[in-house]
Amino acid sequence: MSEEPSALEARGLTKRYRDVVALSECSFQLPAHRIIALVGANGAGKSTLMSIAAGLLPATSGEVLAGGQRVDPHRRPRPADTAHRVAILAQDKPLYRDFTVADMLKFGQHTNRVWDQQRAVNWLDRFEVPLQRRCGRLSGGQRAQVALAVALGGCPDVLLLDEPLANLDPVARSEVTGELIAEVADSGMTVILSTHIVAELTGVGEYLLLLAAGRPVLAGDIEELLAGHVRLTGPRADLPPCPGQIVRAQHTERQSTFIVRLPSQAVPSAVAPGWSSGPVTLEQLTITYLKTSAKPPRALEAAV
Amino acid sequence: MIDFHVDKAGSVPVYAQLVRQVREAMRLGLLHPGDRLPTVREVVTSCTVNAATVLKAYRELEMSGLAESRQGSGTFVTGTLGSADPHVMARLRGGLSRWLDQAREAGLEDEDVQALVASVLAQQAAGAPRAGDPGPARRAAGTEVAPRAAGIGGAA
Amino acid sequence: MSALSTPGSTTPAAYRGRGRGGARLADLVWLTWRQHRPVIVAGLAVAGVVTGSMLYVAARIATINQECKNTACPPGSAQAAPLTGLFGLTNLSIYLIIIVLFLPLLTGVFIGAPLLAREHEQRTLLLAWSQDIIPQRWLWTKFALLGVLTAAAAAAVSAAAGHLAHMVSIATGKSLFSLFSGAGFLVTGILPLALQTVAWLAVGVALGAAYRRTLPAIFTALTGYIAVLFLVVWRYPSLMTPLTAVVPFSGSQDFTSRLGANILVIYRGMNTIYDASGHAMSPAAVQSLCPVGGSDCMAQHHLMEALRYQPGSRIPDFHLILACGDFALGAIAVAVVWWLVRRTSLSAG
Repeated sequence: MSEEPSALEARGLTKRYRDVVALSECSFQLPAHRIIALVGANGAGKSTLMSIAAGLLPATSGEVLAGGQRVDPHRRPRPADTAHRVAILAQDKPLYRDFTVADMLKFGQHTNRVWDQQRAVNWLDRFEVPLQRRCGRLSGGQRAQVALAVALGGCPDVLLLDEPLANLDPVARSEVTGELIAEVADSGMTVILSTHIVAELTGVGEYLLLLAAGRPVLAGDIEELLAGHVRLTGPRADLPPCPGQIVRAQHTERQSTFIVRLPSQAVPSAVAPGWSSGPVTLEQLTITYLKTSAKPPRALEAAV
Repeated sequence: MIDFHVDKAGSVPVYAQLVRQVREAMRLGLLHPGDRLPTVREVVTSCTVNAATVLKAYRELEMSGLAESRQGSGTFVTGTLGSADPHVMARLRGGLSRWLDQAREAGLEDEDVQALVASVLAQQAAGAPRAGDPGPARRAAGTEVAPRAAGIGGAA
Repeated sequence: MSALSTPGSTTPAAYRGRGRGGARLADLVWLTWRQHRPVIVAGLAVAGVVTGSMLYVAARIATINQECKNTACPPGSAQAAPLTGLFGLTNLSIYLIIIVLFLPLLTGVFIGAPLLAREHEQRTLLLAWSQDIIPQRWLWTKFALLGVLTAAAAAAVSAAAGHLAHMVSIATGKSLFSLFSGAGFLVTGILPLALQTVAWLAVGVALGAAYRRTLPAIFTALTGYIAVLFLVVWRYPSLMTPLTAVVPFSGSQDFTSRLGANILVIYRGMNTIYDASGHAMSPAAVQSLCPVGGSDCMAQHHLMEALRYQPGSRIPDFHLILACGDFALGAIAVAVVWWLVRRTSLSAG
């Protein structure tokens, strides 16, 4: 099952704009056929990373591979049917304002080598977007659906979504998320969505890539990450009562709280007396890693 | 057909919640053998959870012998969860009441009682995996709790 | 992991079918038409209206010319009446020809500048380039299609302008409407006008690509066009070395009979005046003959003057030189666009 190449792989990817470093020595491998959450603060490099992966932006150094093939912005187009098709939807979900929705689908058909009209139309039907209306007259949510329909119609193997839920109302967000998951299940494509609202991706995302200041700080299967971290609260101590890597330590006069990354062969043992343990949510995990990303975490073996 | 309600912010893994809700529905008589469980797509769109989670839950139900997937038609309930003998239940209930009285006399409050029960359950689940509820503590279930093969009905 | 082989999912085969897509020439033609439909239609309509008006006015003037047997009608006569006045046929012709003079600017401003600038402003450039098309191919196909259309329209307009100018020059009789002077010269060459229109289309695109916003591109194009126009009008008479001739003074200042039609007079009124046999006369001698001066007195005494001029036969050569200049302008603009597009980096956020 792990014979197939990862959906997206980066090796030493760096992007510099004059004197601003947007990405610095990024290396990671993102698995295929999953929903991958790309999380980071504004300016962390998420949009830059997606633009490079989509072949729109050249990297300063390093390379990106989609489905095992190198992404090169200067050699286009990608040959049809053999290459890994990568589609990107920008944050502002651009459309041609005086095109009708049907024209936008025709645009997709005329500018892509592979096009599945039925798939795009099905998506629009599910959200009841009228086909004959001009895009300039659609609501923000409907425009997002049209943009997504055009992206999906190109039958991508990897779909990059830059903050796709940003301008949607709560109902639309949950509907779009649900339908995207269904699309992934039906078509086997990989979806990489960037967001800074992590809570929404709980239960949705299967893999996480956390970026801070242009570097990947945390990457892994979400369930494994959540299973592998624990919060321990107890009396003031310098070290937590279980082995593992301390991700974060907080102390008050009488109490200490540790967030610990358990070693992979962690045997669940009873908690030491006086200590209480609890799971860490995805949101708490990302915040913790983002806050401590400036300093390297201390790797200590704690005496039990 | 049942409706799933998932609490994504809680500490119980989603797939475990789905499994538990199916078992509860079976216990309450809302699901009979032959009933079709919601399709993966239906669960995904109504609960907004990823398909892998739903598949994991359905696989676990299959491995417990409670459900069976038929290619192209969906997943159907096959087994039953026997409930314990009513007399046994009554006896256990009485014992529990008496124990609770003891606990109150010792000064334990509701939350202390719940914590104690959870801790003992976790301990037992870690020590001796049995068919039945996988247990709420995720930390204890760092690796999947593998229920025994089909054929085991409800615990006595 | 596809849910096909796993329980609980239904995926009809049709839903997963992959159709045959596009990204060929015909597809880019569709895209160019669909995206630029309004300006193409408006541009062709404007060209059509201007051409039609010029042909109509030319036809009216032609009938007048025929009445006067292909020479200028005497001024003040009944036949010449429609020619005079603020909106008389002669002035209408002048207005129309001046409109034609600015058609290349309109092309650059309304078709060229928004081509890339609007895509930048509305962020649709990223939408277009993230599909399966090569950015350069997308751009140059559009440019070629629009260029061919505008060149054809410009050629038609220029031909009509040439016809109209010819009619007017017959009607006015004098060198007032020499086909070698000013607006009349600049718009009646089909090749230069067509090339100029395409060149300014390219300049518009280049400015739009450089500024990435439509309004600054438009203003720069406007200023640039007027500057170039002034430059050309100022310098074009000297594109080839002028000829010199000595001609008798004449009251009507019509040199057509001696030097040919449609000459371009560059300089006259030089200091040396010549007598009837071609000898230079001293200023004192001239003074004694015509103390007041004036060309009528000089004409009575059969005096002659020297002129520098370009003969009408050189009009095609001059048009060719202008055409080369427009071609060079267009080529530079095209190179600038190519370079700018090559280094355009787009980011999704």
